[in-house]
Amino acid sequence: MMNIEQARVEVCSSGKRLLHEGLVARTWGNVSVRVSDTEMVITPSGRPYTELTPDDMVLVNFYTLAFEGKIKPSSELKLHCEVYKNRKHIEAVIHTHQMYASIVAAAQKDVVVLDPAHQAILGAAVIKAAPYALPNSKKITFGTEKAIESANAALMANHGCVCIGRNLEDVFSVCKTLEEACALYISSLKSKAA
Amino acid sequence: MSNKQELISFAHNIDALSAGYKSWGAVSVHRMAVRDGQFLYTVPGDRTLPSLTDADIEALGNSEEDKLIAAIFAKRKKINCVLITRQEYASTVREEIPPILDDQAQLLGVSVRIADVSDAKNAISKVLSALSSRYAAVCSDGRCICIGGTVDDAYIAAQLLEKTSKAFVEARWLGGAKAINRFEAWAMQMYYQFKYAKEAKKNR
Repeated sequence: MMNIEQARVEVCSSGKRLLHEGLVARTWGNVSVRVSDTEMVITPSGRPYTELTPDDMVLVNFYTLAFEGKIKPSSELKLHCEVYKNRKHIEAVIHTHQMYASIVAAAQKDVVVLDPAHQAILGAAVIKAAPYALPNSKKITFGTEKAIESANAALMANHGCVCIGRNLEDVFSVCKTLEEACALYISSLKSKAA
Repeated sequence: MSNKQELISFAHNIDALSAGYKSWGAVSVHRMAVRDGQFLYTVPGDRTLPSLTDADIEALGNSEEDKLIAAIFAKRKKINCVLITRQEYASTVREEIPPILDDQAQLLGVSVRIADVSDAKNAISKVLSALSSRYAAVCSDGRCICIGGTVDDAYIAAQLLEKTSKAFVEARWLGGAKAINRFEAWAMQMYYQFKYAKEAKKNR
């Protein structure tokens, strides 16, 4: 498990990486890392990734939602909290608005993961889509947490996706693999229709 | 930094700025225009953006497109940048796109409308109407009109228009995109504009 200072640095640089890899735009999406049995470090609410420094990352207790300092944590922190509370082995969570996952999410469909190599990384043969709910609502938090089941990702209808793993590098790999799996799924449907 | 300087800075960085959006579809900026105080400036479509200089920026003229741009600035007082783009997916969409993604609803508005510009006499009013309470619209001739309070805002509107259009088109293979309730989409736009967007300055 990372210490708090390491986590601030890693979470900050991961936010910038989300932007550079086209997984989010502007201030959307968020990244967190578990730093203890009760706390995580998460990106702040509404701030552009390009201007963030490690000091802007927010330490949050995921049982009480209390946070350290004046900077407010990401508005979607409750989803991260639920993941850490219910999955003790998970140490990093990333929420993105990535392109191909967004296409499937806009159709409110589950993703059939066709490639066994993708299944191994995503932890399931089907990645479920949580029902639509307003951002930051209880319904989206619990619906998404439930949709993850034993997989490493879930879609959020009309919104994006959430990916989880044992460390940030693993989670970036899950994000990328989910993107490839969604693109492949769409291509397979096109081929069938042709 | 003045809006004119922001325009030059944006043009110099456009290749780097677009790199992060490769998977969203291609956006080609055809015309750029900014409001700077009482003056309206534009960059003609034949200029090379990464090497743009002050000398490439002209006062808005009298062409039909210039009149359209001037009308947008006149109608939308908080808009300081208008981009006219051609886009891989958005330029091919021929129907109104309902709210299918949260980020679309927050930033572009409750739908993306098509402006019928086939009759030059009322083309301007059709575009203004399509842009009402919105930050992007698609013309029936394939031009996309993307607007924002800053150059950066207008460019992200263009990119998000492309992402939304790609999702709308590609989701057809999955049975079609499912729209969000329009009232909820409107509420998200209001929340984004009046609360969330202010966090960038306030949450420090």
